[in-house]
Amino acid sequence: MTDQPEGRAGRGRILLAEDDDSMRAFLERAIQRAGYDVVAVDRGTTALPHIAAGGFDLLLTDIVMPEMDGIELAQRAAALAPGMRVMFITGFAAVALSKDGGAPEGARVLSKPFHLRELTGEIERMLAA
Amino acid sequence: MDVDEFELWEAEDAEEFSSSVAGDIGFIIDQALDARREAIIALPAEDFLLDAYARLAEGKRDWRHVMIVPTHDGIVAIDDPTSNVATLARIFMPKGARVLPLSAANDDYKRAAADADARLQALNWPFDLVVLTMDDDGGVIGLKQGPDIDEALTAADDRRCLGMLDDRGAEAISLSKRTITNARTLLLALSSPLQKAEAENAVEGDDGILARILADVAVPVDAHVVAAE
Repeated sequence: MTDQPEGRAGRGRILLAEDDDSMRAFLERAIQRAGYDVVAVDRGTTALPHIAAGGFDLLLTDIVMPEMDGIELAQRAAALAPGMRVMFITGFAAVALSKDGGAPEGARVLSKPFHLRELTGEIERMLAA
Repeated sequence: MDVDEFELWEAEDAEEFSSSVAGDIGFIIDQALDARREAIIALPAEDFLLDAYARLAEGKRDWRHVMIVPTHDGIVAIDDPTSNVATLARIFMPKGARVLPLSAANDDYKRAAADADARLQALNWPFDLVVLTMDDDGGVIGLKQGPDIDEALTAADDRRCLGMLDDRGAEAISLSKRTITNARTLLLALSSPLQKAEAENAVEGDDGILARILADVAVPVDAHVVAAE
């Protein structure tokens, strides 16, 4: 039975951009439970200063968000922090994957996980790569 | 099920509980929409979940491709204000979701269940998500102690819902154990620490209704509960 204390951080630092309040809160909690430090923001424009400040291993971003979508955010992130990995969560994955979709090279779209464990597993695999 | 596949999410208060449930369900719906451009989910319409559903309904997604079925319902007309389908329809239909009734007014609850099963047979299979609730007597959604429970938990046929009569004489239609155990994801929503304890006992393998269901579950199960009453 899994009921681990939260805040067991230290495996990596993740910037989460998701505008759905409930999903952002739940994903933040789930990723923290998996052992990562998380900073969660509700839009791409809010994510940019965090990226510029540096120190993140992974940008985990929704694609459809107000003001700046996840694709543009990923492009800006690639310029600001070239070493940071990018993973898209949910929504219009086909757009992100298409050649002219605009996603930066190496960005990853989750391969349809149906449980948060698969999300955290994907994060682990990506950070280990 | 493997005990390690049971993940407990304890919320500090009702607001955090609602947010967690809405976030968990929303994540699963969005994955299904991404994968197949449709999501089919079953939700109980208990009062303690309605705030979570209201939050879920506010999420941006193409609700036109989301089909919602009540996990169980009484033998009442679909427009009866006490019906579970009416409760779910009030929340999700304005967003564009389709809400499919289980029940209809019928003097024979078994016949009503057969009609509902015919409607469910027309849906794509399996469900992307079934959300389960418990009552303090150990019942799980509409699967409650009564003359029909043993058949409901052992039937090997393809029925997706069943007519259920409980020990208090209440008639209902409930998703079948087969529908639950075949779902791509399962989520338990618990309204009290007592139910949390019952769920933990079920995972450990007691002989209650939830344990008999979980024994045939092969997917991880998230359980959400408020830490204190």
